[in-house]
Amino acid sequence: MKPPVFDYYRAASVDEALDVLDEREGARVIAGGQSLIPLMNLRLARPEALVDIGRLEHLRRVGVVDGSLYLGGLVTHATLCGHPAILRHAPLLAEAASHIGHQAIRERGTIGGSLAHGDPAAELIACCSALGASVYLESSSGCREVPAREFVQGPYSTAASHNEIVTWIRIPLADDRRVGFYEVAPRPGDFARVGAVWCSEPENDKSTVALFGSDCGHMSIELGGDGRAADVLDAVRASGRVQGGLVRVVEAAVKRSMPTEFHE
Amino acid sequence: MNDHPVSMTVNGRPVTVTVPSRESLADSLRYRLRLTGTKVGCEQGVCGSCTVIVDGKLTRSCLMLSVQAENAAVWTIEGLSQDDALSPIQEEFRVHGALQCGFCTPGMVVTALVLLSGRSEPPSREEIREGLSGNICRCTGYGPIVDAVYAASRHDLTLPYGMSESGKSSFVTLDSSDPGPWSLPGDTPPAEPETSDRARTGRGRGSRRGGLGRLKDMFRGGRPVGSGPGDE
Repeated sequence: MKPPVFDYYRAASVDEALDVLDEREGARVIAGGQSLIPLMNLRLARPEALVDIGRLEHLRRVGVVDGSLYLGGLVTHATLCGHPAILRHAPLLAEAASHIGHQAIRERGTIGGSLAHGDPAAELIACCSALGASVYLESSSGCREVPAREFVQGPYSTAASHNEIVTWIRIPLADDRRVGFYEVAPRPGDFARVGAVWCSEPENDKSTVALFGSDCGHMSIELGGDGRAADVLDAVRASGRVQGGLVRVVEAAVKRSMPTEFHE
Repeated sequence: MNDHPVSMTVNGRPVTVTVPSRESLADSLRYRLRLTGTKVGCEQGVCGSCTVIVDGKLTRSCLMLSVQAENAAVWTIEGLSQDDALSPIQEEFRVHGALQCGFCTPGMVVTALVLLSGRSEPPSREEIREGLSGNICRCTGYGPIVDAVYAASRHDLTLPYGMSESGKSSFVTLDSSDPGPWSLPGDTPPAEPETSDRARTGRGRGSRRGGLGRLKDMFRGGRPVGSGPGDE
């Protein structure tokens, strides 16, 4: 099907986009459009106007500053899969992004769009939660930094209000971090039914399990301890929030974990 | 507000179309430019039959609005061959009987082209299957398609295109001296006005044009030119 009629604005700056969002309550932000346009074509979404931020090239940047990896909201999944800084400092994101759709989807879909869309099957929110990332939300009244764990509030529901744009994602880097990723999908590239991300930072005495998937939704469980793999499953069971087959998904993520290093 | 002029190059030819904002790139290609090789199947990004190349990257033309293609370089199945000649990938599809009804074929060929281009060595059958996994075929059972792409990967066409390199060169690494959230002092308190990131646009166009240049070279013939200049 074709989408309903809407007005289209191409923003030349973040300010311009924010102006439109302030003026028109029914306006939505579009970047890659890989989630929004299918919904519009199916007429499940009917925005009265679209604000295209896809030309804000400065939001495509990636880099490390002061011990944090910064990702612009327009960084595509394909970039996550191949950018040298991400492969070195946050290989979890590269691994997760390689499970998103197919090449054509990854070339246009963006991390900011994935976060703002809030799909329960979205890998990147879970990764950001597990890595202790935060999301910068910009509106005409300023910019706020929201922890990724608090950003997702339910299926397709996030902490961003309609006049805010996801401009940056900040991922704090840590030495001696171990991360693992596992998901179950009917076929590669399909939406995940269930999936788990594990991130442990023994130095900070914490480890985090984040779950995602169309069957289980988003869930983030913070565990103490020294983050040894063997302890994680006991702790996850003890948390009482994960049972049955989901424990095995977490187990698979932990088993496939890999060390990541960060030396500034 | 609803009709927009859009200028782009399609198969190397500059065109300007006036489109309503709701029109997909696929529909503009098919119904305004009469390039009906690009097929529209599911219109929700699942089937892959509308796949084209936009600025050197595989793109679902049903999930891209025409208005988003302003200044873009678009290549469709029609641009892969000159006159009546078949491109090497198309020829292998013919030889291997890799099509029956033909509806998925343009998307398959375009996807295969990007998959095979810019690689240092030909892909394995497994990689080909993975690369084509976003394209659905209801006739062939995929076997002959994988065979055709595997055979095409032995042609000279694979290396000269240099498109994966063009993808790499489009990575933009931030400069910590640039304004951004990192240049704010200390932790950012909620609701603190932030003006740093505004009004900075237009970066990265150069690398895209690089990809376009190589694409143009590649469609000019199967002549091996090695990897393009300025890739890294």
